[in-house]
Formats: sequence, structure tokens, C-alpha cells
Amino acid sequence: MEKLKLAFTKNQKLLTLIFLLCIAVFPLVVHNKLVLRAVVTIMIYCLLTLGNMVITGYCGLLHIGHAAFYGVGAYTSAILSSYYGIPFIYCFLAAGITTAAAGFLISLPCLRVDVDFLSLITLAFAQFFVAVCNNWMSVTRGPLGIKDIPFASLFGYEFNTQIKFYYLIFIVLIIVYYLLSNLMKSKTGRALIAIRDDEISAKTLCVDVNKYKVLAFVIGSLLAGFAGSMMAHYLRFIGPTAFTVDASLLIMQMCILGGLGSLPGAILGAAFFIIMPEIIRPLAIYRVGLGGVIMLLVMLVRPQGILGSRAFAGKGGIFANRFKGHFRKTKLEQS
Amino acid sequence: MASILDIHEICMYFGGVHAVEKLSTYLDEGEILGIIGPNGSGKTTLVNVLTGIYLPQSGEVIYDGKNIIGMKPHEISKLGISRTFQNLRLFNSMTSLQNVITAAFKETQSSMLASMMNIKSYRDEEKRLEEKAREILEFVGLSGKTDEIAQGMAYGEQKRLEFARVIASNARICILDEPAAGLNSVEANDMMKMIQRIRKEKRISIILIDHNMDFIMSTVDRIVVMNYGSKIAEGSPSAIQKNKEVIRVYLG
Amino acid sequence: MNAELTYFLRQLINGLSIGSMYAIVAVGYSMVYSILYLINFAHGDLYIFGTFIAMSLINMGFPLIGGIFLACIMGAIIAMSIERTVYRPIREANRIVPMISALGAALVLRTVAQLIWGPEMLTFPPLIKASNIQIGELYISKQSLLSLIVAGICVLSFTLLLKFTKIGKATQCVIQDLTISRLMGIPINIIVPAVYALGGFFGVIGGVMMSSYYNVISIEMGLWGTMKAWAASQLGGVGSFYGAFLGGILLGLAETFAGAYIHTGYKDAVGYVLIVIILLFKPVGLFGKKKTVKV
Repeated sequence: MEKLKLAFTKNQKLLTLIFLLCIAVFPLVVHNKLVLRAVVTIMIYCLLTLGNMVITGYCGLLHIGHAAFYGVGAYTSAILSSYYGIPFIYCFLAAGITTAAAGFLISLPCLRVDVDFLSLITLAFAQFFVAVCNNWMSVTRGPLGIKDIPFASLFGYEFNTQIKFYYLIFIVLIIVYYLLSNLMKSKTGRALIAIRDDEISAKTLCVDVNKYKVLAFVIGSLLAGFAGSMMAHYLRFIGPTAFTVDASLLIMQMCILGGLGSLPGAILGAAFFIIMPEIIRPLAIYRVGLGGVIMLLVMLVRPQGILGSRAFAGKGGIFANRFKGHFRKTKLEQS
Repeated sequence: MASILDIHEICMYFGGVHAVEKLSTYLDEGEILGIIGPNGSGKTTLVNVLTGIYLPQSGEVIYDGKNIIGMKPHEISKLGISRTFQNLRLFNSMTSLQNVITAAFKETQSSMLASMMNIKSYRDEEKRLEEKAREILEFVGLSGKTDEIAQGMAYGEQKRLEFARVIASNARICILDEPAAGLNSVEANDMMKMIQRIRKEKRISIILIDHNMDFIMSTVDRIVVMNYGSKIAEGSPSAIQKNKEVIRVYLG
Repeated sequence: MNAELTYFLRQLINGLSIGSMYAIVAVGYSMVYSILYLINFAHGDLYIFGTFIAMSLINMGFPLIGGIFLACIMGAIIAMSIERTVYRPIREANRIVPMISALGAALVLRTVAQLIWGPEMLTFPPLIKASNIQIGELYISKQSLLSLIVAGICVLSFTLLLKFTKIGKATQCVIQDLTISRLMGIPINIIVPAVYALGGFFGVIGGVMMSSYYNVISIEMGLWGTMKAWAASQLGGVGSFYGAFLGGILLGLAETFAGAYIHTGYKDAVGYVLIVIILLFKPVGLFGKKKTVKV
């Protein structure tokens, strides 16, 4: 196990490159529409999990309204392009900006309050958003949703096939991941982690806690806004059901499994939860429960998820210590 | 020598509890001031007031010509006042190296954009920060533990890490809240030497809070004794040792 | 009595009835939260599960009170097992971890319920025959009155338990300060499961009342219920059960009036937004005590 980890960290750059190359040539090799659709969905969800990871994984703020940010982005992009014919690139940017503004506004009341109250604020926002989507008929068409959203396009070039969109989202994701990864390794990332681990201590070391909490929300919601825009122009239809609290919980589960506090974990979690229902197709109605079992297993065996930060590890869960003891024994026997 | 910090009649009440009662004292530049007193005498509360965590009902603290009462903790820290915590408040999920790098937050200049684009000036700064952090860890004797997770370190090592963070913050005033608590005599001795060294090398002023009389007596220049929130004595270590009131409070 | 006044009074009664049901589940939720300060995501799904059990028992021919009582006991037992397996091992980690664990437990409960009773909404047998009491031109359904009475009884019995039993007094200590209680020899590992059990017990009562009122039971009511209980107890204030009770009533009133006078679609949302606004002015809740953090 240790040898594997060591090999991985030494050749990290090479392995990442190989991985990216595989994803890049994937659609040229695999032509199955369902598989391609799954991968595209995974990539869009990665934007969501990355955003949620910044807020909850790095900054430690329990955020259960992320799907609402997703929705703000999706509706903004859909409305601007469907009703006003604005070109995709502006819709995409506007979606990001609008959602970031929403994230900014939501974060402000969160500053004054207790951690738990913060979750309630995010929940209230999520509920409010869904209610608005369902009832503001003139703008959102209520439960009918918005349909016939134009394809994504750049300077006249339309992304009107699976493969074209695949490469669009792939490039967007790579750029986002690169920038975000750099940011999290820098002073900003350190500030967020410091706030998560010990807010008071962070304050005495010159970290403006309020500023960084707001920043976490803005970054997270910006990414969600982009994800919403991408999804809207991919499916070309959006409705309120995609943005409920259950959707937020799904995103949270992805982050938890992948590992809170880890960007690769966000990718892993998204991939797992999108692929899983495809694999257990016959048991589709039990997807929710399976998610629950996975959550329980994670919490009981390895609370920090697969790649997550040790901050969430606690004592390792009730079964972990039993297994650890077993491994240690066999190691001693070997030496 | 001018006073770097002037504390005027601080009153900190929690409901009916007068945790700090009309406390006044000063800190000269470059001196080590010790604050001692029995448990509950208000020492840590005073530190919390000085660092902006509590807002006192009345009183002033003048630093650099400004009253810092009412300022937020991160603003006070920016002006150059750092502290350690009695019960340790390390960033438990980070390694000791990362803890110290994070502690140099004030000194980190690169903008968000620069870090996102990974430009040379940002990379250079990160490298400098890491080198400096390694130096500091070596100073406190933790050079072998740079990649160890803070939570898993031994208590004595954690205490030293907490101290390393204060050094990294490049403060002009360091407030050390019970830096030797729980350490054995050898570790305490090392800590005392480190504190004296840092005062000399970096010319910083230190406020030191502790229970351990031997530790205090051999480390500080001047002592303030607190009891039930009030100052009951102030003076050189030898004068305090002979002070009848102090003896009564501690032994009576 | 003019029509507007009648309408208002009708909404008032509705609001109070719904509010009293929220109050019951909020008190159950608040008990656990006040001690451990952990959001119990499993609360709603737990009591809905118990309510399903009650439904099955009643449909099988069990006597009404007996069936409900049995379901409540089962709710208590499930609550205690959740505490033992899910919460206890991970109390030490970052605050989010146990909350996520409870989320997992909630999802599992939801699926097991789905497996046993199927994914659709089912009709819940009414507890009393649908009939109204007439006061002037106002019709008050017996069901509404029942909710109010049951809620009152719950709070009363709960208060008696807390004030006059040994375990109740011990619980009060634990709520004040967990660490000191432990140091004084109070058996935390008995009190905490007991509190969970009580929360589950009362929760099922609340769930049964709600299902009886709406005549429907569905797994979806689990998460919905957790959020109501959570919002209500936050409003009422941490550490105060009367606060949680009052919070529930206020939530019910706010929702009903919002639904009646603004727009039915915004009913749920308005309730939450209002709570958030009130809490922004008084962060500890109406009757809450500020938790002092030792630095």
C-alpha cells in the first residue's frame, strides 16, 4: 500500500498527463452514446463538486444549498439565450457572475452566525430558490421548465454534437481545475484550511476570516454557475426538479465519498455517483439507499473519504481501528 | 526606553464576573514581561482582550500611538501582535511545515491572480516562505518533523510548533500563554532558552504568562502579579519574591 | 362574524394545528441538539419510519393507542441504535462528520422504508372521524383540536419527566455542560441514548399526527420533517425545549398565513426565510442561551 502511494506521488505529473490524454482520446475510441453522455455529465458535475469542495471541504462550512447555485446559473444562461438570443459566451459569463453575486449575498448573513445556523441559511436559500422556480411562471415557466435552449456556441461555431460538447466541457474543466488547484495550494487555500481547522487561531495570525468565508462562497457559487450554464446548453432543457435539496445532498455525497478537502476527490466522487446508477440499473430505485449505505460506510470506516483531508478523519471510525491493527500485525510478522 | 504597549484600566466583565478589574501596566520595547497569578486570576482573559477576541467594558490599550481596543483580531495581528494559546490551537490537519508557512500569512504578498497563474514571482515567494519556515522549525528543534501532521505530534513538539508559528508571524510583540505548561523540566528549560534567544535575535517584546514560578523568575525582566482580575504587585523578580501580598496569595 | 375574520380565524386554527405538530417533532430534535450540538439529519426519516410502522400496525387491526405506542417504542429503539453506531464513534472529528453520518443513516432508513412499503405515497388512516365542531360560523375540525391537545400533553409529560425524575435532572445538567457532567460522574453513555430514544418516541407521535392530519404518508416527508424540526428548534433557541415548542408553533403559523395571504407555492420557503431573518436579529434564537467558547 505504502509503495503504491510512494510510486504515485513520485510520478504524479506523468500519471496526470496520461490520465488527461486518455480522457482526451476517449470519444475517438468509444462511440457508445450512453457512455459519452455519462462522461459529459461527470465533467459537468465535477464543476459542481469542485465548487462545493471549496466551501465545505476547504473552508469547513456545511453548505446544503449548492444545487440552488447550480440552478441560478442554469436559469440565467437559459433565459438570456432563449428569450433574448444572447450569444452563449456572454450567457456563460453572466451565469457565473449572477451566481457569484448570489453566493456573495448568501454568505453575508452567514458571517454573523454559528456554524449550524449557516447551514440553515443555505437551506433556506435552496428552498426559496426552488419555490421561485416553481412559481414565477412568467420568467421560469414554473414546473414546465425552459426548453429549446440553443446549443452552446463560440463565434458562430455550434457545439451541436456529443463529441463537440465533450471537448468544450473538457477544456473548461481543465482550465478551471488548473486555476483552482493553484489557488488552493497558495495563501488562499491555506487561509481556508486555517479557518476550517481553527478559526480563532487563524484570526490571530492575520487571516481576515470574514473575507475568506465570503470568498469561499463566491468561488464555489461561480463554479456552480458555470456548471449550470453548461448543463442548460447541453440538455437544452431545464426544470426545477434538478435543483432541489435532494440534488444538493447528492453533490454533498459526491464530495464526501471522494474526500472532503481534496480536489481530486471531487472528481472521483462525481465519477462514482454518476457511474453507480448505470451499473446498478435494475436496482435503480434503491440508488438513494445505496448512497446512504455508502455514506454510513465512509463514516464508519474512513470518515475523510477516499482522498480527503485528515481534518475529517476523527478517530478513524469504529471499524477502522480493527483493520489497522490487523495490517500492523502482518507487517511486523513480515519484518 | 519607550513603552511599546500601554495598558490603561482594562475592565472585562462577563455578566457578574469581573474577570479583569481596572488593570493597568505597560510593556517596554525589547523587555520580557511576566504575568503570573493563580488560576482564574484573569491572565488569559487579559490576553484575549489584548488580541481583540474579547471587547472590554472599558479601558484602553495604546500601541504605536493608537488605541487597539475595538479592533478585530486580524487587524491587531496585522499591526504586529501575535500570541500562543494555553490549550494549543494548531491547524491540526496541516503538517508542521504548513502550519509555520500559514503563520507567515501577513508576510505573503502574492495576489490571488498571481497564484492562480502560477507565475514566477509567486513561485519564488512560496519557495522563500518554505525556506524561512524550515529555518524557524530548525530553530525550535523540529527540523526532523517538517512533514508530520500537527495533530499526531507529541505534546512537547506541539508546544514548540505553536511557538514557531509566533516567530513566523514576524510580530513585534509576542504574547505567550503558558508556553511551558505540561513540559518537563528539560523541555521547559529549552523553551526558556528559545524565548530568550528570540528576544535577543529579533528584538521583539514579549509578554509571558505562566504558573511555574521557576520558569518565570529565570526568564523575565519584570513581573505583574494578578489575583481575581486585579493587579496586586508589579516589579522585578527579586522584589516580587519578597512581596508579602504575593506570598500570601500563593502560599496562604 | 364577517367573512374576513372567519377566514383569518380559520387560518389561525390551521396554523396552530400544524404548528403544534411541528412543535412535537421540534422538541424531540432539540433534545439531541442541545446536548451534542450536532444537526441530526436522521430525525425526520426516523420518525417517518416509525409512522410507517404505526400505519402497518393499525391496518393490521391493532388497537389505535396500542399500535401508536408500539410504533413509538420502535422509534425510540431505532434512535438509540443510530446513536450507538453512527454518532458515538465519531464525536471527536470535525463537526461535519457526525452530521454526514446521520445523513447516511437517514438515507438508509429511507431506502429500507421504500423496500418494505414501496416508493409511493400511501393513505394514512385517520385517527378520529372527520367531523367538525362549530363555534358560531367557525368550523374547527376535531383533527386540529386533537393535534393541539396531543402537543400540549407531550410538552407537559416531557416537562414532568425533566423536572421530577432523576434521569430528567441529570439531563438538565448534561445540557448545561457536557464535560462537567461527565466529570461529576453522570453516566453520559446512558443519558445520551435515553435522550435520543425520547426524541424518537416523541418524534413518532408528531409524525403520526402529521400523517393523520394530511391523510397521507410518504418517505419524502422524512427530509422535509427534519428540516422543519431543525428550523423550528433553531428559531426557538438552543437549549430550550419550550423554545423549540414555540418555534414549531410560530413556524406553523408563519407558513399557514404566508400560504393564505401571499401564495401557496411559497409556503415552505417563506417559513424558512422568516426564521432566518428573525435569527439574524437574535442569533441565539428566541429563548436560546449563547454558547460561550473558551479561548
